[in-house]
Amino acid sequence: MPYQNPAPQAAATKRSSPVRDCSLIFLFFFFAADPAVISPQDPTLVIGSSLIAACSVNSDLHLKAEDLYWTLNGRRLPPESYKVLNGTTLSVALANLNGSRQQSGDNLVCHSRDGSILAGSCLYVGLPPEKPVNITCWSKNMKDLTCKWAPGTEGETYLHTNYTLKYKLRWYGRDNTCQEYRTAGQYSCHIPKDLALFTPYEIWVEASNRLGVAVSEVVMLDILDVVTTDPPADVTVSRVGDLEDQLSVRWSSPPALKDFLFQAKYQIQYRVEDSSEWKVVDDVGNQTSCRLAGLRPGTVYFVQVRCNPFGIYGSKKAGIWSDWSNPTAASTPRSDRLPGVCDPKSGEHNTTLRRELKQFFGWVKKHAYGCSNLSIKLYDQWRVWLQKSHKTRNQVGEGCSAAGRAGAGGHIWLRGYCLWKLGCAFVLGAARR
Amino acid sequence: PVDRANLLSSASSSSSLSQQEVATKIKQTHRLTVLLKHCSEQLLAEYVRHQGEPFSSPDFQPPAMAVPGLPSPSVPPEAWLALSDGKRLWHLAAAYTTLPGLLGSVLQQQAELNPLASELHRQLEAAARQCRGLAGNLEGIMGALGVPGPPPPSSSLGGPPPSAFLAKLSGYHVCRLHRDWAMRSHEALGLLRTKYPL
Repeated sequence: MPYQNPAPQAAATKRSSPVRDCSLIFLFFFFAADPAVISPQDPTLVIGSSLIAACSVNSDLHLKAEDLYWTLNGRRLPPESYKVLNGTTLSVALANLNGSRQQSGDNLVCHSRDGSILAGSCLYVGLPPEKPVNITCWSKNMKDLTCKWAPGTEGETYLHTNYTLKYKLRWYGRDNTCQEYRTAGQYSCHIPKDLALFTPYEIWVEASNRLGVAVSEVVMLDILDVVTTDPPADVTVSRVGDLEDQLSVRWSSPPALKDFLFQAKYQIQYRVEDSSEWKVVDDVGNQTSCRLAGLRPGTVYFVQVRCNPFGIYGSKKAGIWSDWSNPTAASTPRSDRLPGVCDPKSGEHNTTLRRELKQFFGWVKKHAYGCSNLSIKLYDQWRVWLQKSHKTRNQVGEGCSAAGRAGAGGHIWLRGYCLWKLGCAFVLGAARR
Repeated sequence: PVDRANLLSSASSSSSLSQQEVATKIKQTHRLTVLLKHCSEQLLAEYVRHQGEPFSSPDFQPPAMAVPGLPSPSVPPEAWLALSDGKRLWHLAAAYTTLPGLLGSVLQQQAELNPLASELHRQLEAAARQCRGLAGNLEGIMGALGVPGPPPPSSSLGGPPPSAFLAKLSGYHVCRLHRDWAMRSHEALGLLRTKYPL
């Protein structure tokens, strides 16, 4: 698309180019002065207020006030609101202004009769900020502090609002300003270091925009009362001998708080493979193992554990729950064990079996290192991986047909056991090559 | 798209590049202009979106205004094609040594006007980077072809910060010209590529 020629009134200054014989010039389009000026320039106003703006054209342009018109955000303003102030100045009256349509400001523009833009002014119409509310903070392993808050009321002020989180030790004077924003959502800030323990902090948030400032209530807290930690490590889930309705869960306490004399509280949640409903075990106390009972035989379960660093340094308060550990899977023993016979009942099962076999081989190739690592767990791990990739629902469903719930679970396990054996053989064979 | 900004290490010395190397460089640079063409369109669209009407309306008629230092492709299309390769390259090089600074100024202004428009900021920064890359590539090609380069751009546009509306307008001009130059550079490199085939 060719560059459009400038307005006829533009004066052009020529600049010679150093290339010989070159008659080409750069044209810098330069108005001796601006064609027109709008006053006020970039005003800030409260919603509902009125404004009278004036556009004065440069006399060089030989335009009269009657030749001008106004637009606001592209929409022409009614001539009834115009007033000729003098030969070259036209004013417009705006009443009951709405909040700015964009944060960069509403565009109030003065045009000449042919539509060309002579000047513009950006209007910033909005509300002063509300006090930020609901300040909540947490410290990861007593090393840092992250706080989040909510803007007051609906939060829509139509003007860009800047938030500053400030904090100070209760009994020392100096205010500190948080620097790392938006670490945990839009209204959050992270203080990475230099935090004192055993002494309360005062924390507050200041919201400011073009129309004013609002300060939240001050929150007082001791870092030790808002401690959270990493999820428990080394979560393992295993069978309890041959018991078909139980699984044993073991974990270790998160290492970061090793020396801080705390009593950990734990929670476990578990679910069956193809359900999204978690069952929570609450009264785990501070042991690092737990036995789940009343489970369904021949079923794959996903288990997660989380930790609450309760009573750090003898404080009576609970801390904040950690994230859940990554899900670990295990399956309960099947009720009637068929010793390793793969017996697909129908052609339908056959194709599903073939497909699952291929998938399993693919996965085993990538994830199993040597046959010594193979165990029933490998199959369970594969199922966790499948679950994560959201593939399970589609594949398994088709194969597990009309057989009842418990039976369907059994089919999965049976095919899994055969698959595992085949997989092991595959890997061994490949390794020997 | 992958940013292929590709600065040459040895710039001005007229080079001992083989015909093959020159042709490769021209092909590379041509591909860079394809990227620039695409990105500059996106940038202009993203830019006007954030300034509000009338900037974002499809029939927006901006006034020509003072954007000091910005070379506009004022050579009409037919004359442009009639220029020699060397002259075309010279014009392109002049534009692309100036554009990065101008795009940087737009970024600064948009950081104030539209502080939350992170995608716009990202695109402005990328555009400046790509222009610097193209300037470097052009310098290399011109060196290989024995074409003298343009003078370095004058130091950045000083002066008081413009009013909000003028900032929106000058930013529009910079983005628009960035796009126009991208189209011209794409055309010119295409022509060059046919003359220096691999």
